[in-house]
Amino acid sequence: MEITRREFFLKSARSAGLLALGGLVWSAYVDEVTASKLILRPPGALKEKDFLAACIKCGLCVEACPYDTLLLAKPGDNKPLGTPYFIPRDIPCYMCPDIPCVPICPTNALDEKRVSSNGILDINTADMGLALIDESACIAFWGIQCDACHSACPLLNEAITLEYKKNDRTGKHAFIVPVVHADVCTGCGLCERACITQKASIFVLPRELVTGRAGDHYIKSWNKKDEKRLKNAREINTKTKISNRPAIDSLNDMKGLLDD
Amino acid sequence: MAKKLSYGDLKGITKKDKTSLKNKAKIFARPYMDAPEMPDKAYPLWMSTGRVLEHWHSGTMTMRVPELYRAVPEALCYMHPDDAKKMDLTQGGLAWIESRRGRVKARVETRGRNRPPKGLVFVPFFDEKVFINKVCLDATCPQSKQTDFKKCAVKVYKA
Amino acid sequence: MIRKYKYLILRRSFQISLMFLYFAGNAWGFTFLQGNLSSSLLLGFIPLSDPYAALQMLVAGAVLSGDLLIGVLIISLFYISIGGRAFCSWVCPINIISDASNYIRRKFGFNKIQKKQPASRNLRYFVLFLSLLLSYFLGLSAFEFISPISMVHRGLVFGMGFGYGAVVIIFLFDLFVLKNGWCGHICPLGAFYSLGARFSLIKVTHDAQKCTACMDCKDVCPESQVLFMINKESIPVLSGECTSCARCIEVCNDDALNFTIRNFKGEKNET
Repeated sequence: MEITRREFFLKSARSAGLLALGGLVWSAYVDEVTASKLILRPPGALKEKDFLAACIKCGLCVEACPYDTLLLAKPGDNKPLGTPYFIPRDIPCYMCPDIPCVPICPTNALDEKRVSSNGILDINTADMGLALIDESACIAFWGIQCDACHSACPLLNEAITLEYKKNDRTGKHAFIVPVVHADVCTGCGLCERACITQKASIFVLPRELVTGRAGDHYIKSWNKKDEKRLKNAREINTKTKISNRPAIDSLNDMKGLLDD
Repeated sequence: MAKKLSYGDLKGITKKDKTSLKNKAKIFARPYMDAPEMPDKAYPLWMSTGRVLEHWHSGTMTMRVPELYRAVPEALCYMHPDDAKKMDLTQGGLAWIESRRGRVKARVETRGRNRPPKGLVFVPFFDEKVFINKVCLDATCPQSKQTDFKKCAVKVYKA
Repeated sequence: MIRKYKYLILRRSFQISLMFLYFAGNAWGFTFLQGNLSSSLLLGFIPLSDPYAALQMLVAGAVLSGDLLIGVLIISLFYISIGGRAFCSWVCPINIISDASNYIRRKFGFNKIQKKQPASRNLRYFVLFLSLLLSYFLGLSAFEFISPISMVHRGLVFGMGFGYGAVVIIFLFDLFVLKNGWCGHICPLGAFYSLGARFSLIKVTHDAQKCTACMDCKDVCPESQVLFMINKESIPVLSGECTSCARCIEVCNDDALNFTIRNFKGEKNET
């Protein structure tokens, strides 16, 4: 069929326009749904950005979990569609030593190397999130000797320890309060499940959201090993309008000082 | 007033004169007696039963409190990890705990709280679904007639 | 009577058994077939993976691992050498929905009223291109995030959520807006399979001598442009867009269409 040059250009423009519109709406949706960082992934998951690229949404990890912990995000869940996640308050990760969900992943979005030490699967090195305690809601901070989360933790007395503090109000009791140790906690959520308050006072959130970073220019001088971190510290150069010239120049600058 | 008693050691009384000791615990060492059922080749492990923090006794009340049920929903078989390995049991796997009188099925727990020493398994009795009463010994103390729930011999194997 | 629907019954049985096996894998732990149509595990050790999803992952910057590559290889080899675009008629659950819309359109005579469709069949290749472009810039598998195919097959196994919406929308779209709207004009997965399908060994062949020009085959075909040779030439349907659904073979009363195995020497063996 013969087609004039004008028709061809118009047709191309129409296709381009349609593609642009479609592409815009498409990327907007994908962007919105991947925006929330409040999602807990199975053990061994890559960093969220890499995980979203690697997960093929097959559901083999969900089928492998013997406790039915994992769920696949359904349309309408406001989570990246088809990716696996879990809700600790409902069914936490029970920390199986043989981690059945990770080796079965066909794309290594759940990477065995991230949950192994010395080449052997070690669930205690998992990093699904970090448990946090809300001290205003945790009744141990009110004075009751609870320790349900401490007892439920599979890394007994390592990830959550109990501290004794004097109860100044009564003068003769002690608070026995839970403390989470961030370097040990795997984010399994057994504590969140066991917490006896109406809304869990200890809850698991993705580690990235709830941790800070001291930076490698702060070193603990009492710890010889800590000094090694200094190697990573990089010079930070901040330039402002007045730092453009060396300070001594501003002293030598007579421009504004003498009335001419 | 502390009662006046004679001194002695494990072999017998050494000082006949009775004296009173204030603010001291008085320990009466009784002669050793074998437990009514000891572990043997067929049933190689000790089993003890008891409570957990969250539930009281048979759980008739505490198992019906939603918060406590959620914290500890089922009775587990607490074992030493070396014992579990010897019996080919995995953490979180189901196992039969069997004695001469009966058996129950429970999940094996080798980490976390209630870590018993090697040779002993501990199964709490708050859970109707893990009816450890079937497994326990019904021998009674000859004097007080109290049932000996605390020690019997069991074997544990994969379910 | 059954001969009229032989392939249709075979196709539906296959589609439904496949979805049932996947469902059983999740609901009852059957290890025969686990996962879903994006990536599966057959008999517990044979990986099978969607090559289009893998392509999006590759473009998005993910590292393709061993198991995935094996799965992609198996599926790609099968479809390129034998199956062609058979995924669309024999596996995909959306096919059941679009066939239903098509059937209603035929029964109620919509096709006779709306003879010319307002969109080009090449649109899907643009969608395919767009999906890869977006996968690159967004750093994830762009089509997998909106795919109604995935919503349906994953939904049947793991939970539908609003996936029912996808079913209803595609049904109504195909029924009222555009004939063969999803499968024939938009679906990039179909476009992807079409690209490799032209090399497959099993093809539908036309015998113009037997043809009586009733055009029933073109009526029922979801990709009627591939049947341009009807009553004109005795050649096989070489276009990759043919889904091997065999509806044309079933409705032809004159035995003018049949499956054949391509013999590259020029002679054809009838199956």
